[in-house]
Amino acid sequence: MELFLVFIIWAVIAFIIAYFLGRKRQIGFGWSLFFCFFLILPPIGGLVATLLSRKHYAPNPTPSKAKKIWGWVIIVLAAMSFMGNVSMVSKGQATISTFTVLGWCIGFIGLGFYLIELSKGKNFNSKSLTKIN
Amino acid sequence: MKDYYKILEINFGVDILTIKKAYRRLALKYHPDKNRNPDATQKFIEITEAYIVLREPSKKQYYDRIYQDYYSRKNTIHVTKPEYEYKQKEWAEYGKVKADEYTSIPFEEFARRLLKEISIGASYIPNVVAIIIVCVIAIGLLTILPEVFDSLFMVLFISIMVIGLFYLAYRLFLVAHDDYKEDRNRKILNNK
Repeated sequence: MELFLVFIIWAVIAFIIAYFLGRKRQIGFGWSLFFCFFLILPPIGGLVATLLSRKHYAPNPTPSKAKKIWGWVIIVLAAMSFMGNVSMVSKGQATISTFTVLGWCIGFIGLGFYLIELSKGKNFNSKSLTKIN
Repeated sequence: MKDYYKILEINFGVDILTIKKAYRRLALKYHPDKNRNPDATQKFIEITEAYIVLREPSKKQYYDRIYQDYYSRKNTIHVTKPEYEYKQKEWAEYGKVKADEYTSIPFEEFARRLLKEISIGASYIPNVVAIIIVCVIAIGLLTILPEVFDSLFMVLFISIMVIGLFYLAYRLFLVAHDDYKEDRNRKILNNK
């Protein structure tokens, strides 16, 4: 019951951050909600990721190769960690921290894909008229 | 020649923010709904005309050139030019139209619109909160550093985390700063 209550509070905070902050920024509602759920120290990681994105009417981010490289590095590392934790679960050695790390891995894989998309100079907010510079 | 700077009670060469503030102050003072003085309407038209000329960079540049010739060098060459007379007439007409538009709005609504333009600071509270959270986490990590001094790996790990967190706080500040500048420019130039 307590766990369910914590989940509800977490979901409400994540929704509030995504709705009131993410929706008005280039990150958009969807990505903001995803990061609030899965990124490290949820929803603080999501809040920071959302606030690192500029407002939706600001100029689109400049295309960057560095972001693409970082994106792939994060995906590879997170995927490796994910596989390691999945093998622990399959062996029956899983604890609560294993599932927490699994959640973070999903968050980091998402972060990797987000960075790859961002490297194209994309604005994820549907309010913005131009999606790509 | 009309002295728009004198009308707005500001000095020549001030920045756009000062012009905006001066207009805001005088417009709230002379709006006909607020000021029952018979001259208030005419004064309101004058300040609106001055404001629409000085807020637009191209118009301001043109006006400033003539202003300097007329007031600083006491040279009236440009003032008698038909081009300027035509411009002056055009600005006066446009100022009258805008003033009529503003006077048709009830004072409370007009004041609310003017004051809304300066309320851009509140949207940065989340950034400030996030910076505080990130810095608190970083300082928290720093306090546990002496306890793990015997493990080089942990010292390195925590140091990297702390540097990363402070860098994150700096980036949060930069984003807020850039957004603030963007907001201010948009509101000043009325590009909403």
